[in-house]
Amino acid sequence: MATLVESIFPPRTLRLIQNLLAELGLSRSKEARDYSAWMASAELNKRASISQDQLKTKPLISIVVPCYNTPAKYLQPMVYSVINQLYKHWELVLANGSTEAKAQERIQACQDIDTRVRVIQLKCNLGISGNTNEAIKAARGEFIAFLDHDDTLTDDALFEVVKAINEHPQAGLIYSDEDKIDDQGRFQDPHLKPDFSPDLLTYVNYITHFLVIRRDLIKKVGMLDSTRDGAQDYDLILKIADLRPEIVHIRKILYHWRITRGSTAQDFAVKPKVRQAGVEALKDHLRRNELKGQVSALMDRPGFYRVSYDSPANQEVSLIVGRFGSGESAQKCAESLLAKTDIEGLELEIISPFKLEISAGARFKTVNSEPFLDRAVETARGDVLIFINEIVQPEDENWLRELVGIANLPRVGAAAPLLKTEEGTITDCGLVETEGQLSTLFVGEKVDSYTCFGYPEWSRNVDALSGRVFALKRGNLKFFEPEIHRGGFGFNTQFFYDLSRRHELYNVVWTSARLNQLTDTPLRSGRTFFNPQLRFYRPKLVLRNEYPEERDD
Amino acid sequence: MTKVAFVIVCWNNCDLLNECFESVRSQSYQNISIIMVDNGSQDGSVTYVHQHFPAVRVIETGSNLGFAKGNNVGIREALTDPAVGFVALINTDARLERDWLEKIIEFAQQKPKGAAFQGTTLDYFDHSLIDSTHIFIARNGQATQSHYQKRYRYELGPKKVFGVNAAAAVFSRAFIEAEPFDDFFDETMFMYLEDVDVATRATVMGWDNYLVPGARAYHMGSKSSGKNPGFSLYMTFRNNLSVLVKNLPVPLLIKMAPRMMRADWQMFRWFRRQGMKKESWKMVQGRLAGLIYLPIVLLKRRRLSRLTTIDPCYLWSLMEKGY
Repeated sequence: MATLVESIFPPRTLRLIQNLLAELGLSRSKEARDYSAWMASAELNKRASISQDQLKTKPLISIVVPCYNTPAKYLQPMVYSVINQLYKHWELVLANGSTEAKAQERIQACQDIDTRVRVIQLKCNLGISGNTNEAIKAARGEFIAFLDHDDTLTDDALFEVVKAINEHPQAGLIYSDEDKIDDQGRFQDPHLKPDFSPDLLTYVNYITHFLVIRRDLIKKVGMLDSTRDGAQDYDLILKIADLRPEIVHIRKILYHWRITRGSTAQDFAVKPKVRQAGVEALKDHLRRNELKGQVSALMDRPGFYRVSYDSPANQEVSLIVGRFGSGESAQKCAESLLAKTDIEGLELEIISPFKLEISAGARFKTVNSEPFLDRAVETARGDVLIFINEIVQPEDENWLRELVGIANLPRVGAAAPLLKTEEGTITDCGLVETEGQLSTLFVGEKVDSYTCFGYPEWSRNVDALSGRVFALKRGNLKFFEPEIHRGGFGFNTQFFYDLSRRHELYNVVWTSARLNQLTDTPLRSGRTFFNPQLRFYRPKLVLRNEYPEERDD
Repeated sequence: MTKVAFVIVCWNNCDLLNECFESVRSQSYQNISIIMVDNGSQDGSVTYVHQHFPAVRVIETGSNLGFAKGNNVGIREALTDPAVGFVALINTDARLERDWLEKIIEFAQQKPKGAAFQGTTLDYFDHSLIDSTHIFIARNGQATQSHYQKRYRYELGPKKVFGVNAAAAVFSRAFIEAEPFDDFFDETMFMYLEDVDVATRATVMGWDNYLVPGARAYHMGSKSSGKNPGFSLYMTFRNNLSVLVKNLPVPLLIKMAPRMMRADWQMFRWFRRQGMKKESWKMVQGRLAGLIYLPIVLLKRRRLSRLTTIDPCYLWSLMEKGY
């Protein structure tokens, strides 16, 4: 039907109709169509800068594909996307676990396409992990690249990977950005990922594709675990990440993930099992890192998990209130905080420059001398210091425990909760570096919306925090002792930036802790969008401009 | 090392022969034989080649058989030598880079199911422009030469493509022998679109055509065909229908039909607007003549359909851009 319509109307009328439908929410938006066109042209333009001679080492890369009754319309694009690779030194290993005779034959025939394609005939279907393991066993390459049987690669995927290997010879795990491709071959939903973020990885498997891992590492962790089928890649990534190899992120879209109705339907059928597999993988991850916490899967969002870290019993926490504003506002804030926060199991101490009346549950100290912050830090007895702005109110009671739990982790520099308005518009989600400047992330976006950087509700590692509300381990202040003694120390963005860059700790926006920010002024609503022509948010996007803008076809 | 036979068909282009043959003779890949098929030239081409390139085997057909028949004679002759693994077809108005064949054969050795290969063919007069990278049948049924007159800014390929342009291309012996018809190029077509026909056949039979990176050739382009636009239009539109009906799966033909009608109507209107009344009727005549050929074409289709293995969805996606 659609093709008939497309062929009857001239292009200009068609565009008008499409825009009209998009406005009514009945079809793909203009944004989505623009993206698809851009991606399709970028496919060809990408190789502008490419010269294979700049590569010093040219390792053999084995692409492993577990095949199970792959339909021809997916198999052929997948195989030819590998055949079309600019980088020559690869091998394609297809593990054929098909049960249908026709699919068996079809996959076997792929061997004739290129001498670098090998098909491993399996006696029976061993499941996704088992099939992949067979392919890995047969692979000869130094690196293993994972490709699903209905997805495709961009032409420069392997070239970019090898370029990254040349720049980082120690790299153990390499991943790239990705987007989705539908049955009509249209590209959509780009996902631009952050550099390696351990805290995001415990929330969702954001790495997924395109994934290349050094073979030794896979052998070391004992291949894929078939008891984790459905979350087997998540399990593998967590295991590898715990070995602390060098992890490299390629800031380019190198992978098209197929949207199929069939696969989602299958997902629904085995969903509880998949969810459990993910939870188990995360529990193992905590065990390996000797961390204690609860893991749960988010019910309404498949693939999302939630880790709550336990803090030591009766840990002392200092809440520092009233840095800005008046005694009145500080009083109000402290009251509402205490009323709506569950402080069981924590020794709470409140520090403020003003004399506050605290009803129960917490000790109280006034610090009068100037400069306030330095004196407050010196007098505070808590292991974890929480600095709080007066304009916030807790959304639920767990926020303090969540925040203390994450701030206790050895890898974490400072942790901040997600700040939002009561309607759910984000007001603070940390800062990220863009072209040498720090800029805010997701401000104005709804918490549960989807952007090209993923969901704002994901806990993330960021370059710096705004400093409105944050938790800090006392131990992390040791880097800044001299400044504190000198006086006039402030927790500005530079402080957080130093934590992450100079001292190599991770700043976290921990979205399990959410606070409502009370503002009188209406927020300027922003939309996070993907526009290849615009430089936006990350320096990573600038890379996308290196392709010539002239369209080639 | 596999032997490669060059087949060059010429007809009254004596002035071009020196450069063409020189570039073939000086290829870095040396296991070659050269066959020239002379379609009854009047300008002394044969004596010229005998004098200057004594190693070239010359076949004189005596009259102008057209592109398809001429090449078929040459290919048949080439395949009599069992050592020949590939046949390279070169137009007389093309010139090859020294490593053209070496690059292509190195690439082709890796592809057991490779039918045809071409490098990037550049414009002879302006090397910064592309003459063709591949050919394909677009979704509106029109045969298209991809990247024609686009700027050559960077290396293209490797790519699996819909088809290759026979101006300078290498065909594998395995494919020529696997193909169901006695004539490699369809002789009922006489001129135009024979290479599209072969390309489509290879693709639907599940064989692969490739654009090979780094292999450059130079092509003057439609120098000879520009002489008579009415005739070329007539032949193109006549053969177009045969190519489509002979090769493509039925679901695709149905999908294409409305697009084809619209494209034809637009073309017809364009000619009228340009004041080219005669040409516009030539077009219609071509389509009608195509209909007359349909019975023969359908017979051939029956033979071919047994060998068709390609998935229609994948073929449809190839018809968007040719790769």
